Amino acid sequence: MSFLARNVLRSTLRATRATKSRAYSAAQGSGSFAAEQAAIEHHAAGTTDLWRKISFYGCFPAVAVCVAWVYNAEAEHAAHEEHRKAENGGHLPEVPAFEYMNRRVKPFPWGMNTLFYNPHTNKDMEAEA
Amino acid sequence: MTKNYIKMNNKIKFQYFPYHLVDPSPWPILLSFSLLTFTTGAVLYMHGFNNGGLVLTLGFLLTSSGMALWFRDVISEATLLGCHTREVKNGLMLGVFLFIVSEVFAFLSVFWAFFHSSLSPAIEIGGSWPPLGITPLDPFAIPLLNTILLLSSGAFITYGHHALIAGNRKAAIDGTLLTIIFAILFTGLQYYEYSEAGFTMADGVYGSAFYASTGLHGLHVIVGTIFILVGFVRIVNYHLTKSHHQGFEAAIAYWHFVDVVWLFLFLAVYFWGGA
Amino acid sequence: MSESAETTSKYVLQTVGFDARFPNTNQTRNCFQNYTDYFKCITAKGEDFAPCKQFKKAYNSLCPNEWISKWDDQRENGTFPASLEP
Repeated sequence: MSFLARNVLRSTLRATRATKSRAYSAAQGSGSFAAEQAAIEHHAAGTTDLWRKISFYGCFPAVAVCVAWVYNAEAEHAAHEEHRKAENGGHLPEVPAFEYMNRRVKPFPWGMNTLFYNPHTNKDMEAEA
Repeated sequence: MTKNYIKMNNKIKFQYFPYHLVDPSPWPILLSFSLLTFTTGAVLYMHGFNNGGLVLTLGFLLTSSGMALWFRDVISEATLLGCHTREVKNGLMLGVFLFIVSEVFAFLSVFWAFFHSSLSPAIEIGGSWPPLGITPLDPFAIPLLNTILLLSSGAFITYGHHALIAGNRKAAIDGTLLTIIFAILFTGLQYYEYSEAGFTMADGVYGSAFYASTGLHGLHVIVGTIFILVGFVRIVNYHLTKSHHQGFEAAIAYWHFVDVVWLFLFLAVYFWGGA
Repeated sequence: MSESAETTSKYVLQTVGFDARFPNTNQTRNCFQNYTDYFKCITAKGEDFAPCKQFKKAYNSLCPNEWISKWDDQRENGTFPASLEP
């Protein structure tokens, strides 16, 4: 009698444990890992197509339009700079030596100019020193 | 004796729990000292000490090679040893999100510095933002293109990610590769903007705030590009499967974070702060 | 007693009144604003225009003398950080 009771208890315990750890089991059937995985893959196939369309028919045209716009804007800027240079006798008007501009308490470890130094747009601090 | 050994060995090879108990590893302590060397080298270099550059280079090499070796171990644990169970993956992803939260606060402090200086400009810069003598960059030129590039790369990485889950290898490779190309384009355009800008990092608080915020973001773009590149190489080498690609998902989360930070930078620093 | 009252009436000690634009203890911006306003005022109306004097009084009472002489030098060199055009 007690043997039977123990067996019933064991099998119920096993059954509850099995439901709990169902997420980890690879058993087939609805709610199993394999079924869940198949559903995810099926869903992903659809979203892949959606994002392929967004990428190729949304992003690429947007980038192309933006490149054209930026090309024009940059060309305008360059023309404006040329105009300012021509007005000022071949070079850009000197920026007043405001106290907060071109601060150098000591040189950078590599010299007086910044790492992005450009002689056309920045003051040559190497020549200042 | 031998029999006993086999028995014991089998026992320790089977675990009754889903967690990953890591093996002893030299990399944490090695990286601690590498990072100490790196930061010390940076301080020595920037303060003009003898051989500061050498210590900095050594620190950088030690840190990057130490990271490569550590990540190599993590990749073997994930790809070959099967240590990354669902439970472990949850923990790893929680770690990634906590890391991103800490990054959010790092950027918050830089934005704080920017708004502190720009919302009530000091009299030393004439009480105006941008100050006299600074010609800010036009937000609707290259910065706008950069915004579109980053947003597009976010779409490409989603395309690659969903293709990976669907088991579409070719599309996964295409999407990830496009992301990397656009990320490199972004970095290149930022370099161009930096060298064409009429102001430098040493031009008052405007220059400092501009280059500190956009520069920190630029560094994150470079790190994110490497992160996605690692995912790309692992896709090509069949490391990543439909259901098991946590490192790649971490890279995607990081990339979206970098993307969002750029949107805030574009709105605050380029558009509002340059008007 | 009456003697000292006479002296004070000769030298009127005056500082600037409250300005709602600068309600805080820190009056740095108030000083700077009055300095720039004075030079904008005299550029527009001429040095002898009496109402401009209030700005001069205000910045002389608010600003440290070192700041005033530094800004005067900067104006001479054309490196004053704000526009003084009215």
